[in-house]
Amino acid sequence: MLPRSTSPTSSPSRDTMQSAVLVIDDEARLRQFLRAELVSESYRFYEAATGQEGLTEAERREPNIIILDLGLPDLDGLEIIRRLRKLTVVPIIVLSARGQEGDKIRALDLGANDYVIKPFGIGELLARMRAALRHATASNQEHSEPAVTLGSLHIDFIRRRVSCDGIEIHLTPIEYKLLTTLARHAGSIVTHRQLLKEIWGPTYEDQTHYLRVFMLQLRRKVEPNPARPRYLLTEPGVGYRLAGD
Amino acid sequence: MVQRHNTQDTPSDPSTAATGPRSHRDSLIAYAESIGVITCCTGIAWLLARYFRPGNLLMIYLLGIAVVATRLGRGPSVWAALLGVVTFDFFFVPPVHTFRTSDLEYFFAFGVILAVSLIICSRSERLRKETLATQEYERRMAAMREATRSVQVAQLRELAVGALAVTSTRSVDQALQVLSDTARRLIHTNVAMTVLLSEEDSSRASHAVSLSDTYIAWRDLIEGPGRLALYQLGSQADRPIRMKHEELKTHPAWQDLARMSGERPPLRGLLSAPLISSLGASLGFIHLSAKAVGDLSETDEAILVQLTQIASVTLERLRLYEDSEQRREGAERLYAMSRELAAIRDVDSLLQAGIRHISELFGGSVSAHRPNAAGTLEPAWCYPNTGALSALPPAELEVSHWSYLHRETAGAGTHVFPEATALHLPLVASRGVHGVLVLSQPRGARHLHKVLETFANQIALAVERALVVEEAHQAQLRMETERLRNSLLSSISHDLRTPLAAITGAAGSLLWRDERFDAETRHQLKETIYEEGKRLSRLVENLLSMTRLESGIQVKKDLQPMEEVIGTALSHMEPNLAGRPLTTHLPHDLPLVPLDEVLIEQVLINLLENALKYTPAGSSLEVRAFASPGLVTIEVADRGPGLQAGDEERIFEKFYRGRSQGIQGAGLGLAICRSVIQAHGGRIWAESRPDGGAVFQFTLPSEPVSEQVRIREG
Repeated sequence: MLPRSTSPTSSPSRDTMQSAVLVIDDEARLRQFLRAELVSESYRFYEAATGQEGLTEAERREPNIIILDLGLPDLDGLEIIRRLRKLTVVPIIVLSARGQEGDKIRALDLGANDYVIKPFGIGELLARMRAALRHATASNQEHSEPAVTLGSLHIDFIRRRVSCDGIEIHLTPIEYKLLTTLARHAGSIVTHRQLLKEIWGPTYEDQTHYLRVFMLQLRRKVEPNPARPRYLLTEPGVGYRLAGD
Repeated sequence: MVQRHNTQDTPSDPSTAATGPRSHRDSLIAYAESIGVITCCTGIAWLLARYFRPGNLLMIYLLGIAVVATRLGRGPSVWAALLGVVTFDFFFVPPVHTFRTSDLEYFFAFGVILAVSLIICSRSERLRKETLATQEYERRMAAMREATRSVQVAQLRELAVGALAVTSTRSVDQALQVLSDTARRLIHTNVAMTVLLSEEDSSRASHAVSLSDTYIAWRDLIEGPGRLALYQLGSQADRPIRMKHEELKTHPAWQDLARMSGERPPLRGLLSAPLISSLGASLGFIHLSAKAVGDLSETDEAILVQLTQIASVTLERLRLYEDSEQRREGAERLYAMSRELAAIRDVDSLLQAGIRHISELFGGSVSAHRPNAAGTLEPAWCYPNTGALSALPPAELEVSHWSYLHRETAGAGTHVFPEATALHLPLVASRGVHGVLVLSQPRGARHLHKVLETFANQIALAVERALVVEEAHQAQLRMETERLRNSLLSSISHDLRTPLAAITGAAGSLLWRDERFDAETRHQLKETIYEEGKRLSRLVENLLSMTRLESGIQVKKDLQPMEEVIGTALSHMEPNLAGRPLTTHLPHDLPLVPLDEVLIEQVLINLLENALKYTPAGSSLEVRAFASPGLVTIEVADRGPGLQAGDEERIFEKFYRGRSQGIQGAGLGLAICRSVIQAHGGRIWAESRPDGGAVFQFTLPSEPVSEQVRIREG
């Protein structure tokens, strides 16, 4: 759980302007709460109480982002993701209960972009939504940002340089690739499988301990205190996330 | 010379070889002796010539010739007669010193002398022959006696060797076989069969057959259906029986055998001897038949009787020995089984061990049958295990049920259902019958039933003990569950109600009395709602975790660095750790550890939350990890008040809370930690630090270093 680093009342950012969000959740109270928060964040808000309704709405409203509860009464959450992915490529953020790591990974593998564990703070959800939307926009326009700055960490994609407090850090090719892969999805989760596939190739998809060892080395180089990481965050059992804004 | 052949008329008789024919040299001596005798006669006659007339002097020659005839045989006596006539004529018939053949009367006298001498000669010759024949006969008799004696000695020696072979056997079965073989060899028969009757049951007997090579073809008949006929032949045998073939042929048993074997039964003549115990009881008998050459003789009978007497003693001794050996084995096995059963807790293992012991001691397969809920016996276990358990055939099942209902041994060898092939032993103990043991090939001896029943009783007692223990355990479990449920309810209801009351209260105030509060109070109320909501959420999480762990969670272990999971936990706790000096000590060479990161993260969070809750604000915390061979140890230490003596173990129990005055919680956090660490094969414990504070430590088994080096370099 991330600290509530972002105030929910902060001014709407460029990314969320005019963005339409579809919330698929069977709990009226939660939808009500989300509507209040998201409308105040200038999202166009659509809602659905069942999976079927959600699929219909997703087709009709063409939202920019979908928030989906995995435990709907009529359809299996994973099945909804599968069907949604046939309709649209917009980001899907999954709401799940703790202890369903298996479901989370399957949801991400099926094409969900991120997840938030219930109970969640609204700040956390908004941060995830922003990260997902930003990434979606970036890949749509087929250009990525030339550099990313996170606290004292600066990543220059063009010059392939990483520095901390202005001091250049020497990374091995694999460490660099690991860092930039996470940076391209900054704020969003990247699963072990995605990282392994991207860095080592499809045959290494199950060798998570490779990934963990390189992550450990990367943290020792990048993090001020590797035992209490600030940038390279672990999502236990699922993957890694480069801290967002 | 014709006369020389007189001593050689029986040359073919070897018994005369010792004396032999008179040699050439001997007969020369005899002739010389006769010359000497005539010379002596002439000398004596010359001395007496002046007193007697020549006719009387002739008597002296007669005497001399008679002596020669008696002693030296026919040839020398004829020779002596001729020599006597010549010398008498020359020296004493006037005119002396001349040969005149006019004195015819002397020639007549000499003719008579010659005749007399020949008669004497032939008489003495016959006498001598008779004497020789008598001597020859005696010599032959002596030789025959000698021969007989040596045959007897040989037989006695063979008997002694045979008896030794029988007495030096180690088992009854072996003794029977050796006895059959020995008797057959001693008496030179083709067939020998020894039958040993059972002590308790005369209808049961063990037997051993010995056959010559030419009779091997008959083995199936003799050992098979012919055995009963042979038993019949020996059934009245309390004394030796010897039958010639003709007698045997009239025996009904022989006729039975003849019918079975077709034309030619393999028996010719019979010699039977009983085996008698030292108390005079019949132990059994031995049959010999079909002597190789001739009929079975009295000597054969004598030899067989002697052999069987020696064998009887041996058999009796061996039987006693085997009996006591069996009892000893039984007692030892019973002891071994009792010891083994005492260490077993569950009924199935008890039955398996029990039937294994019985089967190994008594042979054959043993199965255990247990009653099901409907009271019907069902096969539970079988030893030796032949794969699928098969139900008993209906006839045997009936015996089993009888045994089960009447609590008595039944089946083969007992008075109840003696026609059954198996022996059925009920497992009787104080609280009832717990099943039935079925021995498929029970051995006959009745005293073994007692031993078997002892085994069954031991097993039954052990089964009953296991059932009672199980019941007690269940009862205790129920009580424990009940107690836990009560404690859980009281603890949970309190812990749930407190935040709920706070939330409802604060929310109510904001809803209906909002205008009365200033901005700061309103903010406090909102904060209360948020904080209490989070607390409630955490409590529910813990309850769910505990439930999941107790229902047997799957630990998904993944090889990973300890730093990562510690880092995740600390990131997670970051907001709570504000204002707490926290030092971490994680050596760079920590090995990778196979662990479930979600669960271990939860352990670390629980330990950190625990430390935060029970130590004063602002006091320092330490997180440390270090490796030892095969293990990684992680510790979370604080500078709080430490643990109360005696709490070190109990704080890990569910719903137990240590110094809990004023501190909220359900007492689940540490119990969850213990469940998780145990599921990882590690250990968790807590102790007070000597320089103040408490330290919670847990270990996790680590992978060998070689694997890890490979990964780091890869």
